[in-house]
Amino acid sequence: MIRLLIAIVIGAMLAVGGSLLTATYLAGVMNGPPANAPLYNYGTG
Amino acid sequence: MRRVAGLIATGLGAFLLVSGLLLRFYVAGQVVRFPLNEYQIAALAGTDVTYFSPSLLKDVTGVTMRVTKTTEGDVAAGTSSRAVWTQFSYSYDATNAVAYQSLTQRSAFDRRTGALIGCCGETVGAYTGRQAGLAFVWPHGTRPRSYEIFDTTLLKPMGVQYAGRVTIDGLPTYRFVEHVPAEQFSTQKLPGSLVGLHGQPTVTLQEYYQAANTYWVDPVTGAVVDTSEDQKITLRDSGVQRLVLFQGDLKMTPRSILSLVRSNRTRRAEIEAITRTGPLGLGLAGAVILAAGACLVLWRRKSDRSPANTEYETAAAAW
Repeated sequence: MIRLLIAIVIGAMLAVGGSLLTATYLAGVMNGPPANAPLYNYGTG
Repeated sequence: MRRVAGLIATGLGAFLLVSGLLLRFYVAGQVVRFPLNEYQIAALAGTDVTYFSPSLLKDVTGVTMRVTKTTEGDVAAGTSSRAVWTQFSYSYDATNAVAYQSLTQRSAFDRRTGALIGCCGETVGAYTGRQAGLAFVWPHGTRPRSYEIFDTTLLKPMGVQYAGRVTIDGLPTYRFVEHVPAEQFSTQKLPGSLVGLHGQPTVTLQEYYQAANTYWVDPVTGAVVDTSEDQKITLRDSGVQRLVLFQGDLKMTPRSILSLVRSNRTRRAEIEAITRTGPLGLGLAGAVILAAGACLVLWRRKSDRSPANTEYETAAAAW
């Protein structure tokens, strides 16, 4: 049972780390200058 | 071997399940924001428009008016929580091929809620006072309720009422209407002869504005994909109408609507992937794999508790 809990905790911690990295990267891309911020550029034309 | 596979599956399931939850409740909040580098052009047009021509000193009637609204983001003035956009509106009398008027609106707003923020050199024409309410965009996850929008003629926030759902080119939208009953917002001094008051060299008249402005908003992205502006501006003398300065019903052109809907569809898909389909898929997959992994581990343990294994465990413990 302890190993099961350890596996769950490791999986959850990896998820937290991955989510933090993903959010930081995407937020940086969105807040960058236009050439580096291609996301959500809607409504042209 | 089965136990190891079970533990790996459990860890993977926990990873996917927690990733799904964080994607929905943390990453989405960090990432889904209005852009700093917005650039869009939308055109409105109206027929049978009446306006007062300052050069001809008379009302011009039955003209076709075209309004081009160019919106551009000021990236340098924006931050992670604030965007600053400028919109230049140019009205053109296409019938007589003359410019009618232009207006520049610069506004700062919250990148999540779209609510105006007082900063960064906000202006509407010559007005540099406080702006409040909504302006260029509506909140992500717009709800079917009343909001307030900053009216650029009255220079104050006005209520907009939810008026139902409308599908535009396959895109579900909420329709909001801003009803402005005739309201005085300024005074004008002009020659009396211009308004039939020949006995007075100059008269000061009250300037009234009334409107029914309609906005079609994508509730997921908060983007306005269609607008119509039915407006009337008059000069009145103690309540009696003396002159019509502008009267017309301007509607967004089909080409602009199509362009806005098309580009908004991409953004909508991105937001839904981050807030709905992604978390749901990860969460379900994680839950299934986690349950399967746990079953593998626990089932193995149960089988280990057969009489032979119990005997072995007892002997090993004694040794």
